[in-house]
Amino acid sequence: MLRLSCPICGTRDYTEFHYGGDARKRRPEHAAADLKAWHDYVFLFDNVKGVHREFWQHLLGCRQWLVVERDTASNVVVSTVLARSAVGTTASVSPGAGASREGNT
Amino acid sequence: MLERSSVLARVRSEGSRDGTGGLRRLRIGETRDWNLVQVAAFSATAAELEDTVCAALGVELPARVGDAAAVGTRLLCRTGAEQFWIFTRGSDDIAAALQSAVAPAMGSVTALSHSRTCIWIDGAHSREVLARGLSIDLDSDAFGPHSFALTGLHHTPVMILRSSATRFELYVLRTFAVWTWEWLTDAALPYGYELDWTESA
Amino acid sequence: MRSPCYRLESGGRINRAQALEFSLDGRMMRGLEGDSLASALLANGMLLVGRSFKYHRPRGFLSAGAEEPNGLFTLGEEGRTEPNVQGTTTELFDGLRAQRQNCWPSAELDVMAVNSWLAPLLGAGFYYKTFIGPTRRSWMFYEKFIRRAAGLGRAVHRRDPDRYETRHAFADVLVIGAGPAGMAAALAAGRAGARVVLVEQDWLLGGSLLWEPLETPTAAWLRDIAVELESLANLEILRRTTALGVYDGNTVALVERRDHLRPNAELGESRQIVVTVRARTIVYATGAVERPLIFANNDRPGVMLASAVRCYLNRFAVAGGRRALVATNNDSAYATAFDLAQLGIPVTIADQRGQIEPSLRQQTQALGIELLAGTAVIDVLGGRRVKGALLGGASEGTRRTRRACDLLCMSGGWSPLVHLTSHGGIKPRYCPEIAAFVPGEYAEGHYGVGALSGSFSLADAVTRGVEAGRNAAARAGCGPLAFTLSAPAAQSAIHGGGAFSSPRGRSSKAFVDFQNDVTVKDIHVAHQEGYQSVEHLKRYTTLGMGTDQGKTSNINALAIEAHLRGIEISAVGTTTFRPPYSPVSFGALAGRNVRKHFRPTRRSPLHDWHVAHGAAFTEAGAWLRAWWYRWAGPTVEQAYIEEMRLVRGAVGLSDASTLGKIDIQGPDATELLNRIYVNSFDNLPVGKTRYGVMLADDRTVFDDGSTTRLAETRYFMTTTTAHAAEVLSWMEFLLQTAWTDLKVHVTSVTDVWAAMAIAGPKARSALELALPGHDLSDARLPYMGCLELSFAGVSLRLIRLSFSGELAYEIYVPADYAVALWDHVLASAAPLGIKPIGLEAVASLRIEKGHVAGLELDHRNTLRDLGLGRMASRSKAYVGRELSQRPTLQAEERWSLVGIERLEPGKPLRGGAILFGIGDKIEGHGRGYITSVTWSTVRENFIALGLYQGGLRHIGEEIICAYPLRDEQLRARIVSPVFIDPKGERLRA
Repeated sequence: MLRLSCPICGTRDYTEFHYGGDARKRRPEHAAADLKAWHDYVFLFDNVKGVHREFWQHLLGCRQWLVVERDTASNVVVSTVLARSAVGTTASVSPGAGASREGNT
Repeated sequence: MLERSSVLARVRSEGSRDGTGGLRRLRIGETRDWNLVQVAAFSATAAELEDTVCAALGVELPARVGDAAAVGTRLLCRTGAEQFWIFTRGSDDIAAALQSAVAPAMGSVTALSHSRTCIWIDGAHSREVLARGLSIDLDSDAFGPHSFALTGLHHTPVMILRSSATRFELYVLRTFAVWTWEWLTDAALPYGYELDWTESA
Repeated sequence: MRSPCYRLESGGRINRAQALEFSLDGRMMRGLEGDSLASALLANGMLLVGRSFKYHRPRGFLSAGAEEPNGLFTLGEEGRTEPNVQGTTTELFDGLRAQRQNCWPSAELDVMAVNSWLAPLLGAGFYYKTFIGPTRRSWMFYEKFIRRAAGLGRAVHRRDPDRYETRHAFADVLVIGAGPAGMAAALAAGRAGARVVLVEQDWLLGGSLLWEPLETPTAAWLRDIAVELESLANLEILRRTTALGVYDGNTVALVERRDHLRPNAELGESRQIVVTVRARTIVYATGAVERPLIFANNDRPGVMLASAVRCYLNRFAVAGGRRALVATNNDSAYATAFDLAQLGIPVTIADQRGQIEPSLRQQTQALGIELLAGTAVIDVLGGRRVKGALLGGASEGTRRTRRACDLLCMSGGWSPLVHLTSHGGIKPRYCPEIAAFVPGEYAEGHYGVGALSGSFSLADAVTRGVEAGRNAAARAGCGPLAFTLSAPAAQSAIHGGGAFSSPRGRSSKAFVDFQNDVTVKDIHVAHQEGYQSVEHLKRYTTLGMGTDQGKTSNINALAIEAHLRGIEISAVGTTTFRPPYSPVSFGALAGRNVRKHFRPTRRSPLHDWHVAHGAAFTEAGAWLRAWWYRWAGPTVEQAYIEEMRLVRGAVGLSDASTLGKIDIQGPDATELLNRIYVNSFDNLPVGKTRYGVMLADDRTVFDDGSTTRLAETRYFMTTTTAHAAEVLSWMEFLLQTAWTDLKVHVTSVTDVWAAMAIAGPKARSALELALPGHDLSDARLPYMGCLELSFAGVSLRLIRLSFSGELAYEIYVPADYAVALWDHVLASAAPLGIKPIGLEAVASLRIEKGHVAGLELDHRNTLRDLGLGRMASRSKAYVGRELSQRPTLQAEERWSLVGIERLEPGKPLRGGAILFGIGDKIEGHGRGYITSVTWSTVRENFIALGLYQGGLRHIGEEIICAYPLRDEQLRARIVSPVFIDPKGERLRA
């Protein structure tokens, strides 16, 4: 079972969380009148093999949205941070680099 | 006057049950007459809010998420980086006082007393019963008295608080409380339990 | 035929003082405490344990453990029936009932044994050839025959009266397997202070040490270490527990069997428990299983693995026969030969190898064992029991000899059990020294010890077990520890790898996979027909696809395939190992999540009142909602109409507590609402309520509800029941990932507030009766106004809005006071005829008013489609705005909201009916469909809401409503979706 380390609550089963989509994408500015930008944001997705950035919400815990870097091939979680402190930053690990299985604490 | 009623009023008529060997190894009941208020800051106002709440309540707030600080009959829980849940007893309802102390620009105060039902379970086997549904480590080294966690039971949110070595309190959403009660008493069946309503006056 | 008792006079890890009664096919038998079902049957001389899967060949036990392919039984009866249970791993208990499988009328005389003659038809690729190509249609003919003839046990359709449980566990070190290596690891980790869970599928600890005779140093060592393990408080031993699978996050699923306790479901005792362990580190000590040798008729009852014979002999004090032949290609089987010979059983060893270790040779001489080096079994004599064997030289053309025997012990070498270590996707690695696969590598924090690692030395197992236990504990933060453990001086530490020798010829009676009846010939056929990759070979022949997952067969098959392809076994590779390691029942996996515990049920604060006052309930998501009340009629069809009449004519009270309720606070609360709702909240005064609609990012209508401004920076939002959780999560997503600069908090208060809606022309009068002393006039509380007031010391929120189209109010009350207030309102407004009304009536009243709800908000429609286009603000941005502008969404002929009125009395209007224009051909998707239907008390007719191509541009036109499932068609007319009070005079009254 995938286990995620919530920065607030600690490591929990993934069943406490809710998957929220691709976190590499940047949401267009709220007032942006740019049909193409919105179209690409809403409809175009990459199917990443390797380390991916994903939004997860700790729904049954602190309700914080997180950015999780997870290897989609091995299910190894590389990092977990609060979304509000991570949005806009780039991936901390490039795909395939020394990913280690997260501890169980 | 309108009478206040527990969502568990109906299950009160249910009897205690003998477990294996005719024993009743656990006590289960509901705790009533408490209040819960949530206080939360915005990220820029976290320190300011903590100072304000400390001043209003005259106590230090716990530093670590997962630790509960008991001050008199009040219990202060840090539920997030900038969020606290404060439990009080009986007429000690501090929601209004906090509401006036915390300016809208500093944070929010939300009364949640009616949102949850407190079910408690006590006995040497209480941890084994809870482990049938809760997927957090309840070992006393990892989760000693006054530890709490926000977690899930069958995809419903629960707050579990360890109030002593053998006793746990489950704060469950009021609308799921009867279901949780049915689940808990069923899980406790082989151990046997005595229903105890002394704290639900 | 029943043979005399095979139980030895002494020895064994059994309690001779405690006899246990059990039955086989209804016949009573006796065994002893400590027996497995298999050993008890063998002690009773029952060698024939069932018939094989396809050919109905007589079969006996091959093994003594979890690798058993033949000895499968149906245990229990009626609802407790459990098919395909291995007799070798079933602990005998008093009253156990077992039945042999796949035989009729009995295992001894089985009619379907004629299948043996049909073997040429049922060989490799039988299913493929039947399904594919010109013979495809013949499946129709064959199916009944095959389903009757082939197969194992059958499941029953009765409710299982037993209870099952699931539980969660945590460990610093999880040790899987309590053989010498696993026990050493567990002891070292436990001594270091780690929380250890030691898992053993058997009911005794010891693994292969249990095969040793009782009076040996090994047995004493085992007793001592078991006592020490039991003494550690931080070490939990789970016996009768199988590790099913290893998953992400170091999560391991176990199943614990408690059948021997005869659990009482009434007392809540469980028969099986699935344990999910989250382990910091894992030590695998899963051991190895012996491989069969491949020769003709190697499946005859009495042909067994050599280690199994030794296990039955020393652990259960059961001799498998009276004259033994030991066929081997390695040293390990000599231990069996020696133990048999010491009991006075005549033994012949046929060793495929020409060179035999001199010490072994000496021992055979000392024990009077006949040793035939360079000799292999070619064929087995006997039908329902081995009578002898035909032997020949290891190379072709040598002289053949016969030996009589009633027990044939075989050893083709040992295969480490690499299943669990491979579950994480790590492919095992071929190790030519032992002619077997070992774990390829270990994930961090995972350790492998003992026979699993390919080392069959006992000293090695103990030393490396201790080392792994210590390292695992240290990794989990425990230790350091100075601890050593010496291995016992074993008399028979002669495990050895056995090289493969390819079986001669392509016998159709030399079995590779015993459970699925796959022979050497089948593998040859598959190979010839091009199914050469292991994954193809497996699926074409069904090799390894039985409940034993090919534990004894896979590697032999790989060796044959490698030989046929002329490549190394390592190049052939293995198939993928997947959980579960051993079969697990659905009951155990489901645990207690059955019937009323299947999923959580959510109840309104008024639930018990509804129950006590004759409500019928309906499920809405997790909620149980009051559907209709018996005061209004005996059935829903009658009751909801009566309840609608009450609201249109007087006043009704309904439970609206399931609405989502969200507290929104902060300086930017208004900005948040402006962004997520299509309409503006800028100018909403404090004390006023506004209806709002929100879109998803992809411009579809997401949710609607009313939001009330309680203070300058505080709002009270309601959402639909269905989308409450999603709306909150969505706002949190936007605030935490995108709009991080907004200072606003959103908190669910759904459970804080109960809600009741009071609706009807007499609603105000009813409220005035219930809340005397409060000014509730139209001036004080106008349409879309809100009052916060205190009644009897309780804070209430009163919001005047309407779903039904009547004068109506929503009353919000803290949940604990809900029942008291509800009772109070009903009692004080009783003179006006107030009564409770259910969900069906509420949902019907809104259809008359033309309000869209869940059935119309299907995540496909735009605002315009639902007739709400004018709500969208032109002066501000809102979620979904840009994508709403796409040209295709502006098309005039999009399906959009219309009202529909029935034109043919006597015919039913149905939800889901497909709409066609007059003259259209009635086929395909038509021009739209009906979303909601109700009887209208106002129109005295069936009316509906629906989506129709071009929408209200077709108002007044006749249409056809087709319901192909019932072959119904009826004429109807497109009308305005607002069937009542289009100017809104009632709700503003």
